[in-house]
Amino acid sequence: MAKGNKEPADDEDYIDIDDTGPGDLKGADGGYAWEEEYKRSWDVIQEDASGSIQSIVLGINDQLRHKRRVRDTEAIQRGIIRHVVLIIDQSENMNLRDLMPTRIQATLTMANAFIGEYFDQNPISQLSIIATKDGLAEKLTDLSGNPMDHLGALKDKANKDLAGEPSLQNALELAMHTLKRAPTHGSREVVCVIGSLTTCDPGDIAQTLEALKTAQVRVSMVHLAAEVHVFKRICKETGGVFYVAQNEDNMKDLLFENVPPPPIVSAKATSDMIQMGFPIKANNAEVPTPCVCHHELGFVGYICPRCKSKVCTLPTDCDVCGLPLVSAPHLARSYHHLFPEENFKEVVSGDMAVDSTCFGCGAVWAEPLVAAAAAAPDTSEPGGGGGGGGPGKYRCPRCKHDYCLECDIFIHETLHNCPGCV
Amino acid sequence: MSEPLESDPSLLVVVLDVNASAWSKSPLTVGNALQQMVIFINAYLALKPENNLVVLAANKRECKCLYPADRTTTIERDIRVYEQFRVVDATVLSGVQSMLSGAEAMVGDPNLGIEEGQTLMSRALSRALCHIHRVVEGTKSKVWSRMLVLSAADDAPREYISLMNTIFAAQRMGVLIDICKVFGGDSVFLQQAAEITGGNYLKVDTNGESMLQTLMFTCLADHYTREVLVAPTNETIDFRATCFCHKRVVDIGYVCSVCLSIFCELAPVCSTCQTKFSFRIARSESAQSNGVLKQSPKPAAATVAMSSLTLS
Repeated sequence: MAKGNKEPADDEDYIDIDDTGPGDLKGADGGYAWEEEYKRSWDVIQEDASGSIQSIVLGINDQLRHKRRVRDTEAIQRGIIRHVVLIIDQSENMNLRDLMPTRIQATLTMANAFIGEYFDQNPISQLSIIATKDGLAEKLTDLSGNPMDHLGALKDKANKDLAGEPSLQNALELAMHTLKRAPTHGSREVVCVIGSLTTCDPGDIAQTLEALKTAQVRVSMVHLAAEVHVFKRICKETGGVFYVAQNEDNMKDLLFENVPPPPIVSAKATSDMIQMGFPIKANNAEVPTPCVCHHELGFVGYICPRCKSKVCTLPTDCDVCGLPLVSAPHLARSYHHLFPEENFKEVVSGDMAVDSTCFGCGAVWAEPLVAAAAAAPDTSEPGGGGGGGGPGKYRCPRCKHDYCLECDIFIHETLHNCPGCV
Repeated sequence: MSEPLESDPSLLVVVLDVNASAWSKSPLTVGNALQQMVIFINAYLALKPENNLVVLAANKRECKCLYPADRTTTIERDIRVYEQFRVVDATVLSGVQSMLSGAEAMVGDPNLGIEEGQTLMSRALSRALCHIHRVVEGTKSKVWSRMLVLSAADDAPREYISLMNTIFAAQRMGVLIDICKVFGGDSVFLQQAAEITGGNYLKVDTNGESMLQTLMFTCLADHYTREVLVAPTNETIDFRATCFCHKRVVDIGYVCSVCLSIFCELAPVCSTCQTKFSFRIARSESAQSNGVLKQSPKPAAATVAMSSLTLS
């Protein structure tokens, strides 16, 4: 996992000429997708003593689930109101088949999931999509808070052809231009998914980098092939992160790291009072009326308090007067970023048992914890907390209740509050 | 998400509010309500053999899972009653009884923010979602899950954020939350829970005899059936916010970009998080004339409690 999850080497000048590379740069599960010739998934599965494959399949499933990440739980200031530009590489290099079915298909699938998750977690933020091909950059969608606009643009067939070389400089310039009119209280971010090892630029990209730094744009990238010095430098100097994806699952994890809002580090970030409208739901109309956003007839809608036009979904910006329209629950939804739930600690077998079952789902603990861990195949990640395939116990440090792994992941990723603490 | 099929099994999580002091004020007795609820549960189980059930009970101090019980209690067999009905009925009734009697015996109050007539509703709903998550993950076929909350107690303002987290988690998982409020004023939090997740919010007639009928007609239907039923519509739920500074209902407000507190007028410093604002709002003139409404006669459903929110 050394290369995929973290930046490969701290020393930037270090260039690894040896193709085989040191063994520890390879991932635990065989390394990069492009290194694998065949996917021989059947080789992994071995029968156990009784001739059954059930135990090994359970073990593999547990391993997959064990990707429990330790999250940053400090209460720090985060840019709740975000402006993100998603740059998608649409050069011919995206036609390669190392990610299934092709790089571009995998990217678009991930982008769809990313957009859904982004607006779910950041309901009052905005997004824009830029594609780059043939040395040009093209804006697919302008900054908007409505996920449907972006999903529609990604579905559009015309936006899917691949051509020529990408131009990172053009894409970044366009992104900067888009973000320029974003207010200073919100964050300005660029997230790129790039499959090419080259960029075809009209000018000096170092100047673009300087401009990005002045405009306080944070650039993060997920590269699908390998590390490229100039890409990594742009990310590093603008305060973003650069990752190389190993395979489809890893790519999803890396892209989704951009879903929670990043902490604010810049001292120049200002705070503002943002004017927002809280519309009233109107559902007692006698005749259907069109909404200003999609021009579709409907009985239900929300009335903009300033211009009295009807929009069909919240949160959004009023299409007539531009007022951001939200409902109070949407604001409440962003609170969990400000007060994240503490990470649970794994219970080692010596500790006193507090709960006889999982406090969340009521599952009974698998009998001897140690035996379960020993019985599982010894493939647990080094430093990953141990436990292997055994159903570990995780304890909330605040309320001292125990949870199973399922509930631990669920509580931190979906629920965002510990049932014992509330 | 795929469309629900008629053959898909359901998972129902019943959350019972057994707050003794809240029920003591209700014209409908706990026993009576419980009887009707048990009949409803039996009807649900009888609909489809694959239907799955979890019963949770919560009061002011604790939240317990009554069914499925963690230990097997021996219940004497009765040949005249369907086996599953008997087990469910006996465990639920005895569980509620022990919680009601246990509540009086307990001294000391671990939950300082919760008042006498309030219930640990967000804990109960969080645990219900954990149960649902476990069942949905553990079943290969699609399981459509929903929740039914029998509520008697008042809202606890302290629970606002955690309850909102729970509601949004339920919405993401496609869990419907039906609310059956038996007594007292409307619960603004639970109203939002039903509204956001697409469930029904029912206020039962205080006589209580109609509770079973209401439940049968509105909450027994699964996801598939609900598509063709016309549910009783709620009166419009007001999602407008109350400002933190004067507790006025605003329809155009000012939101602090750091902590998202809502204010009805411009201020130099955020009173919640002490952030100093830079004054760069150009659009304020047109809005200030109609930005603040006079105190609306109906309290806003949205953030009655957000005003009592403290940022530590």
